[in-house]
Amino acid sequence: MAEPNLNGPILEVHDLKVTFRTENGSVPAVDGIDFAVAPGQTLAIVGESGSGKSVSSSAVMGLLPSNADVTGEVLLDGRELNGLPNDELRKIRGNDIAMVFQDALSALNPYYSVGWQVAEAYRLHHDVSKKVARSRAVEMLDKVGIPDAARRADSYPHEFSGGMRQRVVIAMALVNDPRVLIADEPTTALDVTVQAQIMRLLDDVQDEFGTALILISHDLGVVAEVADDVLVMYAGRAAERGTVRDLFFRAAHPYSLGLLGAMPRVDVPPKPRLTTIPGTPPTPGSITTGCPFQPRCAYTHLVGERCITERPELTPRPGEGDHEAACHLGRRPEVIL
Amino acid sequence: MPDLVWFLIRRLFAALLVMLALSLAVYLIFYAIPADPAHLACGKPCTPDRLEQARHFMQLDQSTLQQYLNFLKGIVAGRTFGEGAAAVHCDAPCFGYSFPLARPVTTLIMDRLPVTASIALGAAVLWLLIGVSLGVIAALNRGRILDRLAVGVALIGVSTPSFLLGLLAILVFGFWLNMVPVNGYVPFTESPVDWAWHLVTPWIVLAILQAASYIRLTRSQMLEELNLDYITTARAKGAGEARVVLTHGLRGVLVPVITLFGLDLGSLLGGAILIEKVFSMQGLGDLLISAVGQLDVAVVVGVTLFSAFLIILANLVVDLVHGVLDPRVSHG
Repeated sequence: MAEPNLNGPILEVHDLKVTFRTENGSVPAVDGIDFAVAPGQTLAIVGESGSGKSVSSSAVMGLLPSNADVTGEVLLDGRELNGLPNDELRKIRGNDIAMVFQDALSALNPYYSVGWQVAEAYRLHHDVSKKVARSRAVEMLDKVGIPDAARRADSYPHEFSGGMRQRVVIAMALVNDPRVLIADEPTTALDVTVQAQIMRLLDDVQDEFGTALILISHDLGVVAEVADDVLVMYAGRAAERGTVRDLFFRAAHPYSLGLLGAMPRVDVPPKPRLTTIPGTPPTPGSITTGCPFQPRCAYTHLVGERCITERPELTPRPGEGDHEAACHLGRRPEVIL
Repeated sequence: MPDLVWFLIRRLFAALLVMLALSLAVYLIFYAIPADPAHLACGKPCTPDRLEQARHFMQLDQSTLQQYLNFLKGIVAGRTFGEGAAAVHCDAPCFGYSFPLARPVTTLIMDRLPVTASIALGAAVLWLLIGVSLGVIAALNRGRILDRLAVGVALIGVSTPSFLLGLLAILVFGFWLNMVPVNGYVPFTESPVDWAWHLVTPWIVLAILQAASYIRLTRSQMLEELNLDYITTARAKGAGEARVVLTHGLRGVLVPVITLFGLDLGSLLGGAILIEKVFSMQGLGDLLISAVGQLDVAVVVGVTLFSAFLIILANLVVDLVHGVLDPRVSHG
């Protein structure tokens, strides 16, 4: 964990909404979320598949397909990105905000050497010769821990192991010293030991460059280790947000509790089975009134009708600073298990 | 690159075996037809004596297997038909001797190849350019008017017979507009300008017909390619749309396109029969059709084998190019 940053946030997102126009009408994927991340800080966005966490990050990058409508503010160092022409956004992508993808094998172009691909990322934002770009690429590959980087730069993605490929992707993302790094499930496709190495690498580069990191993950173990702040998303909305300690010690939303309960732990006696959250996440757009989590919530009986009729808004909760949860249950729910 | 050398040796050896098997099949098929080439050679009136003489001279009196072995031997050592002053020589590599044309088949093929190659290569460059660029444009404008237009052109191209389009082109551009010569071939060495001038219509006609399948293939490949994760990566790196499409997308499209291209070009080099007929050009296709009409079995066998050889060669070249285009392809 990095030192708390006293400067303002480098990236701020206010009331971000993403709606996909499809043949079957509009489908809201993200329904008004706010988050911010400061230099050197790590914000984790967690949630199940389909909760809108990847769509949010793509929206920040302006990478959504043309049938997506994005509203809200995306401020990079105070500058509004949403609505910028593609040509302006292009200069920011990969330069100020870079991205690390989940599956490095498919994220890397199989037809070009890794050195070429890292150098390309550099040359897209720096007017330098191929030779300069290449030596910069080798330097980055070396920095992310590719052994014998000068020689390996000429290798193709399929000639690397999964962990090494992810290092290449990280080198490519960091080659322009971005101020914000978005890592979308960067370790999901990797072995557990390699996961730890990659997370340590991200942590190291963050310390070295003061990069703001947005970590999209569903692995709470990873989140607990590296995040400063956490945003829990459910059905395109924020269920809870706060510091990592708020989430782990003072979780106020039943969904957050469910996620924590579903996490295997070594510090408590093992249960015969991992706890799961009953039911499945709602399909986007299917919940129009009430709390989106209500059909799966074990605490509805403590609140009653309101869960079905009234949509809960984020309200302050006890904790360090801005701990908020969107739940009608005012007090912290007792763990029912 | 020892891997590549071994790959080549293995492939050439395999090609040789395929050619041998193929030559036997072709030989048996054409020598089994119920017609006697010696009849044509012996003239009229054809007495049994003279027929027997002709048979002997053309070495048709031997068993089919012996004839085939003679054919194989001729490739390596050349052949001589008859004896003494009347003897006919066919130098190695001898792929048979055409008695009606009084020339070795090898010479005939080499005489006709430049014509066919001129038609095929020129058209190939055109159709590859047209096909790939229209395919890319169609993919980038999916569902819009440009896409519909390109797909429409492709549909017309696929379904139009080449002789129809060829004759229409001659009629419109040759006779009505009087822009281009209507037939004939001028060797490149004689006058490059006249050479191109005579070839431009067959090039365009062939290119339009062939480009159709390239438009469709490029379009569908590019649409698939643009959905891949590494395309998103390229955008996330800050690459402009042109770079995303041409540098990152096109490479994967080219792999199947080059495969199709190699095979199309290989088969076209073996003779563009209809186009050569329509434009009155004496290429390999024309040679083959005339030979069939005259029961000139040696030429038919020779041209057929030559076409087969070109296809095998095209396959080999395509495999080598794959290795260059796609680093994941290993020739080991």
